[in-house]
Amino acid sequence: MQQLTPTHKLAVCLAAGVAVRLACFAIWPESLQRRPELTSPLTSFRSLQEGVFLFGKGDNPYTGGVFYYSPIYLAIFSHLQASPLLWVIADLMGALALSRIDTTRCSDDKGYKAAALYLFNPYILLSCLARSTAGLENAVLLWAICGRTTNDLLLSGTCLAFVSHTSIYPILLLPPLLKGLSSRQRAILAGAFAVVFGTIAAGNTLVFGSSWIRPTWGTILTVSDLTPNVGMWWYFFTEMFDHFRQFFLGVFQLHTAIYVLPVCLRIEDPLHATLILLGVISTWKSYPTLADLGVWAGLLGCFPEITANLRHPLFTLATYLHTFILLPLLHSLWLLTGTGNANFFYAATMVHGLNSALAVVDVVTAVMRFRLKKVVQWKDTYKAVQITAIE
Amino acid sequence: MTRLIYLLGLLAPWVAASLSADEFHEALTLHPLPDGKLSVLFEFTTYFSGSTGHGRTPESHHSLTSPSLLLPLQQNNVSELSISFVSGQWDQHRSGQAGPLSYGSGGGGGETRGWLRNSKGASPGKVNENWVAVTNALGGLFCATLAPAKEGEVVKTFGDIYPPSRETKQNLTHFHVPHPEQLLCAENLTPFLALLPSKGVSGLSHLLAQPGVVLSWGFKAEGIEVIMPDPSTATGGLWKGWWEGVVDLVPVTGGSRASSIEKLFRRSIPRVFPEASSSVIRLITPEQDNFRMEPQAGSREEQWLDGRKREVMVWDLMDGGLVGQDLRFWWENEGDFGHPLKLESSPISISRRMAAPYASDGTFVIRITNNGDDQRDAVYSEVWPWWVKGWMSEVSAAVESGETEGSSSELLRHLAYHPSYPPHPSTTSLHFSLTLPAHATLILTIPYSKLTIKYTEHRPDAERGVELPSGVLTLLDLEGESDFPNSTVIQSRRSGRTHIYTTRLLLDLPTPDFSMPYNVIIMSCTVMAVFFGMMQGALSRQWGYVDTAMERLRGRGKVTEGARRGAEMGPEGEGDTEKIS
Repeated sequence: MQQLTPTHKLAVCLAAGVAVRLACFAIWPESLQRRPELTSPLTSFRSLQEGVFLFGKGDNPYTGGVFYYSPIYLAIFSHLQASPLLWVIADLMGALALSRIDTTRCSDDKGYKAAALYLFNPYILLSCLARSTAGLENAVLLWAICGRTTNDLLLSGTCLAFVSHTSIYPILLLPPLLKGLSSRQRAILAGAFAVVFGTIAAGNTLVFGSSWIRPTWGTILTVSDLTPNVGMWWYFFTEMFDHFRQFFLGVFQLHTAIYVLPVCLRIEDPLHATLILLGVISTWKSYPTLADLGVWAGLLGCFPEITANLRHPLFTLATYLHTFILLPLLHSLWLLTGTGNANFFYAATMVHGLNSALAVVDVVTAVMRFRLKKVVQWKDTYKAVQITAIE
Repeated sequence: MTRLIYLLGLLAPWVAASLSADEFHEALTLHPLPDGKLSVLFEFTTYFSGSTGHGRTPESHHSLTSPSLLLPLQQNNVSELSISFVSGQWDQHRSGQAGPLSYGSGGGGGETRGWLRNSKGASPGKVNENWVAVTNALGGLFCATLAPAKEGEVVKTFGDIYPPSRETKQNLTHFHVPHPEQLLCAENLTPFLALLPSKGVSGLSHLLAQPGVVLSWGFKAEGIEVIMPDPSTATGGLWKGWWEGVVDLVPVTGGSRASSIEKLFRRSIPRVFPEASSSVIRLITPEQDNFRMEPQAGSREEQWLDGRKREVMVWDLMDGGLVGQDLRFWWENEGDFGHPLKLESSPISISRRMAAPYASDGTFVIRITNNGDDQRDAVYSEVWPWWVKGWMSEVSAAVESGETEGSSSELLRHLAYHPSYPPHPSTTSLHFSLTLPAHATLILTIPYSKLTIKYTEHRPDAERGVELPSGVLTLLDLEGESDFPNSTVIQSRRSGRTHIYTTRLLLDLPTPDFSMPYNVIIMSCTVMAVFFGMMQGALSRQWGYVDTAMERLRGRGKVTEGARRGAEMGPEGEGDTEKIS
């Protein structure tokens, strides 16, 4: 039998990923749509449908505390049938972006492993089944990173502007993506970002006035919807004393942004910096879902040099498996059967969040260790000569 | 056209009264229900003129109405106001009636509604301030919470459901504040009696002025409705107070339903209030042949009640013949009362319950049964607190029976959705325009989620849950209660009951652990600090290595002291560590 070429392997991976998704959609069409682990109020398909329905009726969808989406989503889904196929295609595009990043960075790898890691990551697969819009945003985000890798800076800036507009936090990835470019290239990427971001914001304002800003960006920044999710914010701000609320909002938001500068200064490779900051965002954003971690894990798959230097990958994976079981269990104990209280689910999100935090730190140290090893390797040849001289 | 005639018929005595001096009418209505219970309704109606005097200081001259009721209303530009308190649950199935005889009573708990005049030139917020002021004043009068706890709790979309009871040229704003947690209790009866001109001392109010008796009854409803004089059309005002209770006629040990005024109130029929223009006792006779009364009624009327033609016996107390007497009624040859196996249901009945009532979300299921022969038009309305968010795209209407008599869009013609503004205290109100097919049950399902609210926003007894106000079904095609020629015995539209209420619902909210604020703040901040510390360490540390090959050469396989220290301290340390930046 003829050996499969890497392109064929990639095609097989993608086809298998699509087939699994279509089969799952056929068997469980709607069962996961309301899982709090997979959808937040900002990414839930149910909210999106409700907003589109109200918009179609002629009501303002931004009243009522149901719809926090960017008006772009209204524009798209008022005309486009929200079929499951869209989410399958988004995952496919994400996998393609990852395989391109992988092949561009490491010439010896043909990209199918990164695509397979993304497509068969349970977090990504389940988010796709839940039709969380995080899946769509992740695909766009991956194309922003892919554009930077392949030096397609216009694509990178456009995609980053789009995804920053819908969920704000990716704006923190702009500095690492600009890192290591010539001033002309920087102008192209930043210009594309600014033009697209400004155009979308201006278009929204033209249609809705300023009424869309408070429910979309305002909700992300002030955490006014406290629906339970896997993040560290919702219970903290449910229990927060009123007079400290503003202070801690500032602390939590600044804490997420504070890593941008030191990471960009300390980590030489812009893609390494992007990877680390993506990990920080997916752990500490105000409405995280498992899809955010999934996209981070997918990107990590493109960096075999880092995964080889991780200190406790098995511990991290085992803890994720642990929380994967714990989160739905304790959520149902609190809200469905009523036998537990809110602390149960909070404890599970704590374990999950702490594990993500440790994983991010592990990646940072792995990057450092990799750099060190590279220097050592470089010096080895020089030293061999030196040792011979001493003898 | 028939509705207009009916409306004119209603208005006629009142217009006439507005021309004359103040008048007071009182009535006691007894209505035996098929399940062995008796509905007792007191109604006190006072007509008053709109004279406010012509002196330098405006003053009102009312001979029969307490100024404590009218002055706050005058001051705050009130055109109409209605307050009702209900405790207990009306059983639509067992009573065969869609609700109590007092049509003004709400579904459960307290309820305040009113129309306020928008004063010319005043700021738009002025009318809201007036509403808060008048509800606070009357709340003090009735020893109850009537005002909204937060301004956002006022509902303004119920104007079409409770239209003004008379034509006016004035610019009015409607206000509606449901207080489902505010049950009727003993404190509300005394102020009610104090408002009456007879003060519970004489006339029919003497029977009512017995808290020990009337408050022991099962279902209880109390309310007032005030219509202020309208200067623009020179019509007078009226206010009506009602008190209704449901008494069990069958003794606890079993027996017959025979009863009398003395047995009910432990008093004989009292002396007539001297200022009263009319004072009557009415008895809606049950549809059974063996029903007997003693003494015989002075006159007999016919009235349509919930789609059935009923005979009403009337005793006029003004002639004085009944004073000090008793009025007895019984079912002849009745031994022990047996509960009827089959009960005739009311033309329209409604129930609301929750399906899948989890702490995080659920579905309201509203069943509206139309037992009549005609298709009916109605509006179903709900009010929710801000933390209940409905999913309008998933609302559905269907007919229960196997054969579907119309698509969802025909059953649910229109949905008016007025959402709240979370996270600010506000209310969501919904009005569903429905078509109720004949002899069918329409099922309206409304999926909802409950927002997680801050621990400071929960009520002190958060684990108990929060009451949701009753849903209201407003019938749009009623033909009135008066008897028309050529009308048959059963005709479902012949009724004066415009509003049919569901019961209240108790909703439990997802609660945080109220003892945890410090713990949560400390633990979450610890995770954050651990992450920050480790990141700071990883990013600011200089990474070095110990070249063991070089050491082997120099120290014969031993790492020197200086090299070890250098590895620990970084590149600044002494020894032979390599500095890598």
